[in-house]
Amino acid sequence: MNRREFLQGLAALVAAQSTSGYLWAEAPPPWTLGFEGVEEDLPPRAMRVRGEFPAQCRGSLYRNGPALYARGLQRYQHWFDPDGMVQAFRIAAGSVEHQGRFVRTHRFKQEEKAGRFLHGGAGTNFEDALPVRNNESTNVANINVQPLNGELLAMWEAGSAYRIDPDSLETLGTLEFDDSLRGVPFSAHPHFDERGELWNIGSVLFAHQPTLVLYHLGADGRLQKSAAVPMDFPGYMHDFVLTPRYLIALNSSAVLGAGDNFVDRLHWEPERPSQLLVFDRNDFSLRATIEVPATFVFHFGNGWEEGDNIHFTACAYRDMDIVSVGMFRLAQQQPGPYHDASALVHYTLSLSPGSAETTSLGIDMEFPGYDTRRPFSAQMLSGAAGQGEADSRLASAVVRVDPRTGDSERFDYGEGVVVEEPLFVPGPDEGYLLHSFLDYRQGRSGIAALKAGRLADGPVASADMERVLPLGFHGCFLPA
Amino acid sequence: MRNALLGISSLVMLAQSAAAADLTILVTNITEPTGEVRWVLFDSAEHYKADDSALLAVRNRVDGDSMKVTVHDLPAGRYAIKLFHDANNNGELDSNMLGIPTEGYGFSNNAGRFGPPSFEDAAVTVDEDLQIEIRVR
Repeated sequence: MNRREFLQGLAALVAAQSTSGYLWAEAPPPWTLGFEGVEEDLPPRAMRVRGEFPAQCRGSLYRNGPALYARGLQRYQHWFDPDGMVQAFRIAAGSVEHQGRFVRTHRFKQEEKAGRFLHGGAGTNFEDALPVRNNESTNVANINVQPLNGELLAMWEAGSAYRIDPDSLETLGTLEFDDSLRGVPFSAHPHFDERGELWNIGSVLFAHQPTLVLYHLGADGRLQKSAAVPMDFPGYMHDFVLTPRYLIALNSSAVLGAGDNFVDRLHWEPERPSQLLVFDRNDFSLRATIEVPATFVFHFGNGWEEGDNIHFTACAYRDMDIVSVGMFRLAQQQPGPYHDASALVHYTLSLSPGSAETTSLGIDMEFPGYDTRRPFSAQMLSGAAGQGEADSRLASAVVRVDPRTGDSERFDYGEGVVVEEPLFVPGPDEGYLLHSFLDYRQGRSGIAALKAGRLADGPVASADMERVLPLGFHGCFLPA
Repeated sequence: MRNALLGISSLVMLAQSAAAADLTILVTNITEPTGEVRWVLFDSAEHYKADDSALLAVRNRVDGDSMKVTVHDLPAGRYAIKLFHDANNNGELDSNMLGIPTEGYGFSNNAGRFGPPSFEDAAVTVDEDLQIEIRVR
């Protein structure tokens, strides 16, 4: 019996016995299916295919996200918390197969053995939690999965990346550099440059001296250089922007202070300007610190340069309610809404003197994606948008927008379908967008491909199955 | 850790007083099968905090995922233990560039959820034979 059946059974029982019949009378909203979680690895299963996936879309779509919500009566309370599961959708001519496997982190293995959660999560405390050695002890590797040197990396943002076998999805170990970087955070949104080299940040808010670590890896995964830069204040940082010459990080106004767990320790400081930290890619020297009004951002679009100006986009929030309220309510399967949607903003930076201009593009978009073969070109962005289910703020649409003009196209599945991160796949004309989804009314998870430039036509092909996957975060597509 | 280090066979007779008792320490959750567990026993907050003048400093070779050691004839009183697992035998609790420990460590009472605990939080009262568990974190 899963939690939903248990709750519904309990609801029926309590409703029958109670004089008021009020407390449990209503079943949870249907979208909460996406936050049930799974308890076991998901062995390969053939999916039902509709239409024909274009040849360019044949390959593997990998995704990562929080998946193990409960052990016994312990249940995580925040979307950041559950153990990561890497999903593979293997798209071939006429068939699509799905497989999911939990990342065997140090933590997962210890807790599997103990039969319970031993440690709290980013937003969850357990009464009998054991003390931890360091940040790495609570790594759940649940945010992103990206390729590196023939393997996959399953990434969290406050610890090491885990290496994953792309065929079996087995966990191979952690990505190690040298002893000085052991367990140092390696964030979940590394970016490839035009040569296939990898750049990343590591945000260390919890150290006595808040520190930003910068990484430059060769395409072979070897460390080329790194730096540890002290920060003025410990603002939450999730993603960054890479341009031909610069690496730009946002020290946001969600600032780590006192509290009972990581999320509780984040405090929104609306009077404190956020900082755009502009580093030189050559030597990681800090070229400029540009203050902007308090903002909260998970994700950036790609960056480009025009003359001396730096351009990029951000899916910006007015405050941090999405983390401090919304992601609790979603994981706890409670109706909202409890936070505002993000809005796409175009930033133009000038370094001498340091200044930032912003233009709102009026698009309610998250999970920005682009053609990663041209990381430094002004180009169309894709994303998940819309609010099919107004009380959850879960996206129901695929959107594509020109960050220079704000011109956009979209396809909205409407209430009942949650759209996850669309990925750009090169193809004829303007290419394709490939995304996973949850059809919570039918209880089916799936994937769909849409033709970029013709989004309004809807999917050209889709595949789904009688298997509900927990709603996840990010992934990648690797062509066959 | 600057004190003379004693081997596992050195189960020291610390006192002959009538109030003396045995303290047995069960060290669990040793996750790597190499190196030594090094532990120090303090009888005062001052020495505990300064990490100096430990009453006892011992190193035990790792053999399995747990170990049990006994200190005999300890005078009645309050004691706190710090330990670390020197998995690579370099004599130090290794840490990364941020100063965050990368080898296992632990304290009596398994105290200190965020950072090292105070003597008071880590101290146990020994007035009769006692066994405690320290889980390497």
